[in-house]
Amino acid sequence: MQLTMTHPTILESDRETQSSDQIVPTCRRAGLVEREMEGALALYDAVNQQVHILNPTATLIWRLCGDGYTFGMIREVITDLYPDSAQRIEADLQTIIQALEAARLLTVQEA
Amino acid sequence: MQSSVTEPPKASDRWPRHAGQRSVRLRLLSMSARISGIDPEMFHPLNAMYPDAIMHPDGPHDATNGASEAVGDYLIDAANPGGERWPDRPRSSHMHETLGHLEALIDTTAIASLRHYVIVHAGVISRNGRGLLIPATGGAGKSTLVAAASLLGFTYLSDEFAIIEPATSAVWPFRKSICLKPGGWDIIQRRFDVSVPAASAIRSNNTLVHYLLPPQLQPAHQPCEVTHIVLPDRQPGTKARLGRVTSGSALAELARHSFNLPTHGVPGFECLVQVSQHAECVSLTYDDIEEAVTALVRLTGQ
Repeated sequence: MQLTMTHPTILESDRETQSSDQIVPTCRRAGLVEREMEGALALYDAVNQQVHILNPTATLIWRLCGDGYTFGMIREVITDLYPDSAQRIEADLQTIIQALEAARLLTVQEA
Repeated sequence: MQSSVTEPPKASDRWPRHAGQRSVRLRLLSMSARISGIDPEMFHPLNAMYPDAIMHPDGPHDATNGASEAVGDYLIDAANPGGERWPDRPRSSHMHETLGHLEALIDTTAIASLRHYVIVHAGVISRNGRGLLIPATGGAGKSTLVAAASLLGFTYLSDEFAIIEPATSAVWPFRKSICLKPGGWDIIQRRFDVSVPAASAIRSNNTLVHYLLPPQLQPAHQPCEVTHIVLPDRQPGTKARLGRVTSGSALAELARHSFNLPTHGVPGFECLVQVSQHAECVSLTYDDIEEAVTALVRLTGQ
């Protein structure tokens, strides 16, 4: 999928006034078809007629978003998996969630 | 002193050369189109562009001579503005420009007519019963690679349109000669024993293209299983090498280069997933065209 940031999200705009840990990214389910492909996830968005391929890390984040995890909980899971990259995880996670939001695959809400 | 940028058409290239205008029938898979009002001098180049697909209306294979258009038929009336479905006409008296215009009309008609297939912008060749799908953007060297492979023993299905049957994921041949832009034609001429194109045309962007008739065409009604998806990447100065890519990356390329995925929706997506999952997906980085074909030979077995 394209990891481009096309517009600011609640993650950025509210960063100074509240903890982003309580943010809940919520997956969109309607109009999406999922297929597993070698650890990656292929999504067909029937509404917007687009195909998205999520790499394994983005797939994991997508799954956690689907299970109701907050931003802080997702960061903990990813940090446990990649302890050597802990310093980069916050920024990378924001980038991925913003890309998923820009692709209209999830919405971001306050807890 | 002013100099002319483009060479003026020779008198012998002027069109029409004969007053009598004719119509021909063109069949590509389930597409049937009548091209009416063209000059007889264009039969030969049209037949070279679409081998075995063009039939004279009074020829032995065309039983519909003079009949009104049946359901599903398209009338391409390139010379008279009264065409029913595709009313258009060339704006030039130059035969190569007219051929370029007709090619665009025929291809547009084909895409519309064959809409029940999933169509991907890709070259398709086969060897030893293994079908290679090569999706790429225009100008990436796809047709040149397909031409070189065809001249070195691969069977040719298409240099531009992968016509995929949704139910089986097999790919059908699109019987159109390989269309080479000037750079590609120069490479093929320089490296292979090819001196004269089967036909030439000038496209609407004023590019002169040449058509190469491949030595071995896949039979018109014989589809081919896609066993490999090859993502070409021409890098000057590099040795040809194959690398593995994930089926997800291959699927992304197929979707990106699909002409009509939105028309098919979920079944079209499932079809491309099927193709990607059942094929071996590789990248082909290369500079030298013959090295690239050698790599494809290795891929498809000795």
